[in-house]
Amino acid sequence: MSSRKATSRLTIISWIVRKDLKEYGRDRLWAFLTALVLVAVVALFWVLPDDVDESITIGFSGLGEPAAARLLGDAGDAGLRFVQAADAEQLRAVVAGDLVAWSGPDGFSLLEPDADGPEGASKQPVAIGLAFPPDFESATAAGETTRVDVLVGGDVPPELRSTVEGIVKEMAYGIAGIPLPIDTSNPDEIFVVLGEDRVGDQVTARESFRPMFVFLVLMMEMFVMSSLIAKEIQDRTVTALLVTPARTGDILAAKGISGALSGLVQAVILLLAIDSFGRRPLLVLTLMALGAVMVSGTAMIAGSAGKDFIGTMFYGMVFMIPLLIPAFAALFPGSASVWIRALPSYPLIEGLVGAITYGDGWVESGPRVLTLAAWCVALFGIGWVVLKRRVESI
Amino acid sequence: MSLARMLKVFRKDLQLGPRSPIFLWVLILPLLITLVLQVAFGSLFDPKPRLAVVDLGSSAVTAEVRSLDGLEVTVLDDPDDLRAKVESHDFDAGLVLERDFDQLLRDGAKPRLEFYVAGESLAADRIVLGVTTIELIRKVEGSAAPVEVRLVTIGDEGLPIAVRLVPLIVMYALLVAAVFLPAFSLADEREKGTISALVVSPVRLSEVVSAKGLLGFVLSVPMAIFTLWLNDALGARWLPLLTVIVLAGLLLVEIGMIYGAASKDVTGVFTLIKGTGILLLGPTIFYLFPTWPQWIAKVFPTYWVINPIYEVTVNGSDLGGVAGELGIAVGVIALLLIPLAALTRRLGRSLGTT
Repeated sequence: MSSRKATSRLTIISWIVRKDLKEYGRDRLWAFLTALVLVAVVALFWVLPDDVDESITIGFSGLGEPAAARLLGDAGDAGLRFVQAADAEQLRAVVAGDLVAWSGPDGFSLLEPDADGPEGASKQPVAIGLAFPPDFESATAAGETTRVDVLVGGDVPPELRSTVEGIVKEMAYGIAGIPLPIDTSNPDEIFVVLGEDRVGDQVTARESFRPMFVFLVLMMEMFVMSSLIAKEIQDRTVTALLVTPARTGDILAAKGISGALSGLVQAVILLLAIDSFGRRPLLVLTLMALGAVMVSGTAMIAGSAGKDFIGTMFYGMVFMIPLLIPAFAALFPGSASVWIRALPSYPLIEGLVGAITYGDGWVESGPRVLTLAAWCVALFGIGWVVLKRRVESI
Repeated sequence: MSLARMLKVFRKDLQLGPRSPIFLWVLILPLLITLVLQVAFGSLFDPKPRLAVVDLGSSAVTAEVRSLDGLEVTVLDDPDDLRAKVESHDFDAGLVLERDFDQLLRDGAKPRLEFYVAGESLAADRIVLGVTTIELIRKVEGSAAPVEVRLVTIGDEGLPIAVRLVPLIVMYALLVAAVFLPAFSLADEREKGTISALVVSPVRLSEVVSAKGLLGFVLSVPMAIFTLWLNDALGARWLPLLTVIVLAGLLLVEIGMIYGAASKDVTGVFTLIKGTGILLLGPTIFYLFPTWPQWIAKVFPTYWVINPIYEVTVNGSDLGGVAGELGIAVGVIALLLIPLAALTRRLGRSLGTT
């Protein structure tokens, strides 16, 4: 008897879930917006740059080949790229943008702005130029003071201007044989890299935006579900359901399941489209499932609170803005502030960043998964109570 | 059309409006967008190298580095704290200066330097912070460089990102007050059927629609000025400023009334805004990317009101400087009256008033 009862409850819930999902599909606005957001997010993701140019490109003139190789040869390893111009006039044209530097397999070439670059070459903006006098090396070595013109484009930031000045001065100090005024007996102690050195392997804009995109799709789902819940309350179709064998608990469970299910399906489609399952597919899927449950809970709260479309949208925004903050914070380097870590979506975003970008496994992600699960229980519980009261008040 | 009847409807909307969440959006959104774009995304578009310093004595290097432009410098107390924060990339680099660092430097005793770099910091930032530190140490030591360096700036200085974001933020403020408010208000009345009750009274439909537009206009002008003030971009020329904002308000209010008259319900307005939002916001994106072909922005109708706002507030233009653009804006406003009148008539037919 009890087994039949349990089965019938499940059957009723599955009927309501099917009805909700059908309604979702029939609602042309939300169906259109859901598809639009998915397509737009996927397109935007693939348009974002997949590399990080962390070097500074500097043009120079006046140094002969051997001197250039001697003075600038190792600088490339340190994140500096040098482009040689024939003379100071050509260098000025490069910095002013009247000539364009192309970087290809055979090195740099300087061409007119409308000319096609060599095959396989890419444009290399040069906003800084160093115009050395022809006798820079010999005169400096002889103790004479020469003058170097540093040409900078108008949009070169102040810190870069002073840095380039400093580079020229250090070159001169080196030629003149004036050592650094600090203890350099152990160079490894002076310049210490802390943490994994990611020079040449930086997190790209595409990687940084990935959690934000995934979360945006989940948030869109929250708007859809809250709108459908609000509509059902306004139209009082929920009371029609209650005259069937369905109980309030069945309706609430069905709302939660259909919200989480549709959110999860969209998130999985997105993750597949932006190639995000990576090395930890099960962990990513678990995080997304918990994220979908969390937004389903918030949708129940927003849908119960809003009296009409605008009201529901407003309450949706009230939830969306704080929940999006951790996704914004993930775009910035460094650790998040304490108050950001206290937001329910933080463990989800941190978990996604860790699993997808840094390849964290279950051990590293365990605390995040547990914290997220706790938030899910809390938000889903609140959503359940709020929606239950709203349904019972009709 | 009776002005008195229109004002009555306007007063009713003004009294009842604050009950609607959209009024809250009108007031909060400019503040929120300013906060998000200027505080958060501003530094994302234009990041500065971040240096932490622990000064165990009172080195002149610390004072010098704090006075530099273009660096974010934070002074910490504890070397261990500095190392932990550099490792977690809260800073790109960290510098620990030992006690009596300057004295040892001047005495030629070659003090020890601790310079930590975050593994996730960019190579370019490492160079900037490393070279800057060395240069400051040389300066404190007092040695003269064996070279004279002359800085020559070529071309105009670019505008900072905070300024380039202003058109986008102002456009948002105008959109919410001038487009969303009249559109949602009109569609809401239609959805709830209250517009039918209004038009069976002596009030005519055109007066109801105009009242909605007036409500949007009255709120959009002060909100645009408030947003410019928030972004420190009011400028000093009040007459040109008011003129360009009034014209912007008029154009966008017309768009709001068109959306409201064209939609059967608020969901329809939402769909229209979602679908056409890019057409309204489009020109503001071009200020963020000055290397894009700027002529494309002129294809968007809102360009002819947002660019005059930009020219007057950021570049200090007077009315003469933007007269051509304002002339086109007036033309667009006049042209938009045609679909607005047609849609209002269609709405009237659907309500059975004509």
